[in-house]
Amino acid sequence: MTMPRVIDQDFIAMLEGHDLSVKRLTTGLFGGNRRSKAYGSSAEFADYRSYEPGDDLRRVDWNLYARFGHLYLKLFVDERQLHHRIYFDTSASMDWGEPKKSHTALRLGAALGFLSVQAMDRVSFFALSGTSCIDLCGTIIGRDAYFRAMDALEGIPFRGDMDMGAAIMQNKETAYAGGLSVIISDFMTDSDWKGAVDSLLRQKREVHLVRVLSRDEIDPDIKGLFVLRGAEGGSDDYRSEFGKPNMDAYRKAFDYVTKDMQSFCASRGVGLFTVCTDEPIGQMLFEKAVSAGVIV
Amino acid sequence: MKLLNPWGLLLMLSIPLLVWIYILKREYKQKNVGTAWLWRISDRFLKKRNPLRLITMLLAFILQLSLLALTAFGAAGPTLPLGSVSPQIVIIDASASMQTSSGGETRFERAVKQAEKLSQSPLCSSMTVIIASDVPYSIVNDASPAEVREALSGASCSWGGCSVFEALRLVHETWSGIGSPRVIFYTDMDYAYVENVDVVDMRADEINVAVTNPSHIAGTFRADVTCFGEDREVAVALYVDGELIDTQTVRCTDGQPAAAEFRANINVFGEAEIRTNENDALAADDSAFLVSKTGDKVRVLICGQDNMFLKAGLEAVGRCEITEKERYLNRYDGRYDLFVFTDIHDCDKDFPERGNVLAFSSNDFKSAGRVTPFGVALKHAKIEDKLMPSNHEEETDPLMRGIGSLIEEVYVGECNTVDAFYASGGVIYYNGKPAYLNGKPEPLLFYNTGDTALVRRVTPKNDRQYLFCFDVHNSNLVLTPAFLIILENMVDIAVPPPVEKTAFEVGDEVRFTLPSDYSLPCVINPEGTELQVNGLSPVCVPNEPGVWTLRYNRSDNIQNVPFAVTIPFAEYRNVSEDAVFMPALVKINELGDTQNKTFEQPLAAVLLLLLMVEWGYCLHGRH
Repeated sequence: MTMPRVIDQDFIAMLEGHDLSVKRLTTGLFGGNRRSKAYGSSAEFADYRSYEPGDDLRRVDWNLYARFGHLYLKLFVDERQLHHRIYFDTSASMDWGEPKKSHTALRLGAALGFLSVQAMDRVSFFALSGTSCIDLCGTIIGRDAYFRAMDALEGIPFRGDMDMGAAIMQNKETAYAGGLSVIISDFMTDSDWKGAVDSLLRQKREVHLVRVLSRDEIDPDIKGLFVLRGAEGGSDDYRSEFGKPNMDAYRKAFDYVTKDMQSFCASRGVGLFTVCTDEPIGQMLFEKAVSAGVIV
Repeated sequence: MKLLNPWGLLLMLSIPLLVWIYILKREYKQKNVGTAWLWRISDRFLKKRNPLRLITMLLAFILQLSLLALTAFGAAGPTLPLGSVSPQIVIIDASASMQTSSGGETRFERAVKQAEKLSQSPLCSSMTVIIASDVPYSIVNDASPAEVREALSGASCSWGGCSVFEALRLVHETWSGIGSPRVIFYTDMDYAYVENVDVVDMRADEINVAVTNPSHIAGTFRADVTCFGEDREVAVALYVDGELIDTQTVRCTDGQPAAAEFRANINVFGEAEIRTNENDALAADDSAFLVSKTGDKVRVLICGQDNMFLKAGLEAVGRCEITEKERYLNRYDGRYDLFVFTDIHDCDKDFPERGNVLAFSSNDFKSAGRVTPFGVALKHAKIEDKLMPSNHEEETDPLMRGIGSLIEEVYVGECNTVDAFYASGGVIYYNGKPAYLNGKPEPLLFYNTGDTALVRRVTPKNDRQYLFCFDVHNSNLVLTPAFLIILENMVDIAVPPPVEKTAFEVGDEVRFTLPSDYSLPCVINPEGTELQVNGLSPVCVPNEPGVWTLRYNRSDNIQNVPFAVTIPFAEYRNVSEDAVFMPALVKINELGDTQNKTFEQPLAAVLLLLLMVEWGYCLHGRH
């Protein structure tokens, strides 16, 4: 079976005109397209301030001196280049659903990546597998590099289990540039994903969580005697005589987990939105992602 | 309760399967999911197990189990007689084989008992009982249990066969209820299942030995010996002309005839008998006879119900050409030498004009179970010696005509079912001359009651008059107070008193008249009584003509002591032709009352007839 492509022309066309919403601009690389709160040396006029001895006389606005007889300095916008990082949960549970959660995750990640390069930011894609955080394509700058990276994304294997906390917290290399850190996962794991989020927050990252679920994970309907075998194998199974009580309990568990995620994210200022694999990608991006403040 | 279709219960075999499906075989299907992580978390949100959950879970199983059991039970067709309205129709096989006895009871008697028990069932409100002989008949229809019991007490078995078809047809003719009746058929035959008929096999663990198919070829006597009920070694003996010739033991396999052969080198014999003395259920078939076939054919007509043994006995004689009829209608039929009526009523009270007659009383069929085969009795009676030529007037020996000796012969031959005989040709012979009453031959009926032979006359008014009593043992003619002798010049034909008296009470008197030419003694033969004849002592022997009065005087108060006046008629052999050698008793209308009447027609001296019979008997020797 041929895997559907992560991106296509329609996908790109859909994304143009949108941008990632980055709230923190205090850090970043120079030469980007992101306005910083600080004043920099870009060509875009930002503001005036009084001259203080030692300031660069080349910034004095002589027209204002002639008018007002007082020395004022011109301030210009400081533009930075961010480095966004997108983390994919590549455990076996993501390779499930119809459409598969993995495909949805890759599409979302690809969308965010495109928006990144469109804004002249840098983007990196990582695969969380086991306790490892694997840089899939290196740092991507520009569209050409981006499109080359998409080919690599399509070949990501989704298998095994994943320890999100260990994988992210062990990855220390990303401390020098700001930007978004987006974790795309189903978050159906006992691993310390909260610790991972906190670790990213400590690194001054702006963290967003994208929860990808299949329809039968949101609203299951199982009746009878079943042994549920998880894709990750091992002890990931569940035996019961399924009926209405089980369905009710599952929904309660789902609500509980969702609320737990929401409360945690709210307390950390972390964005969170949940998508279902059977939703249109546009709805995912331009409704839910926009509502979550990931995209503008 | 009865199950019409027990095979329906086989559905119950599905119950273990159901149990297996629901309880033993709880197979979990595997379902692949992305992860069961959230399901495991959901456990904490499951409500506590309802104690009734198990019952709820098993409710479907219980309901299905119950449904399955009810379906199986329904498919089995249970029938439960409800209420008190349950008509029953009982058919009892009355063929000869039902005479087989076991444990003191015949199969027929056991069937009657079972039917009676059935009639007493609270669910049996009415019962019809059909006796299935060759001509099945109903003895009671739609009767109450009490009526059924009373009817069954008079039920008797036949010596013939059983017509099942006719019996079932009779069932449908008599059934007037709705739907099909429940029919219970008591029989000892193997019948295929008949719809709506419950066949009850009356055969118990009986063991019967039968000797059949005798034959004689070149000095060798042969017969088939069959043992029914078990394998047994049977002792068989050969008798020729009454003498034991040889014995042997035959190994019999249950139901399989085994040959018994005796090489006796005897080619001339009168009669041969191959018999076994096994104590078995049916003695009637323990012997097989061969009789030398010499002499002219005897043409025999058997009328009435089939009697297998009677017919077998006649066939054993070897000279009998047997014709069977249901009823005899033509009393002038001269085609037969011997008429056999299985019931005295089978000849419509008009016996044949010619030929000898052998008639049975239906009452004695009740005792058929205690009777040896009549064929044996006939053999002993040497019936061929008693057969008379068709033209009785040519016969000069009166003893050859009368069948009084036959009574004696038959009686001595241990056949006491024979109780009625008819004089040869329907005429009473008196000293060689026929006796008439009112110009017609007088039919008399001879009854053998075991000890005596009674002669009964049916008057034009159908009054039954017992004439005299014939003591076969002592060859005496015994006069009892209730009888009257009809003789020529006899005073009257007395009508017996309303209550037949065979014994006297104190103060009773009997008057009898000895004819004027009476010259023989007459012995008063009391049995422990005290009589006075004309005031004389009991041992008085009146030997003078005149009216004699017997007065019964007994000092003690014993009532109804038998009393008889015995005249030894052995002395009468040499009487003159015209002599009236029997006294005449006066009519006894009331004790002490006498009437003198005169017959218009002379009547043959019946007593003379018997005397002549006895004469002939003496000539031919006693057993």
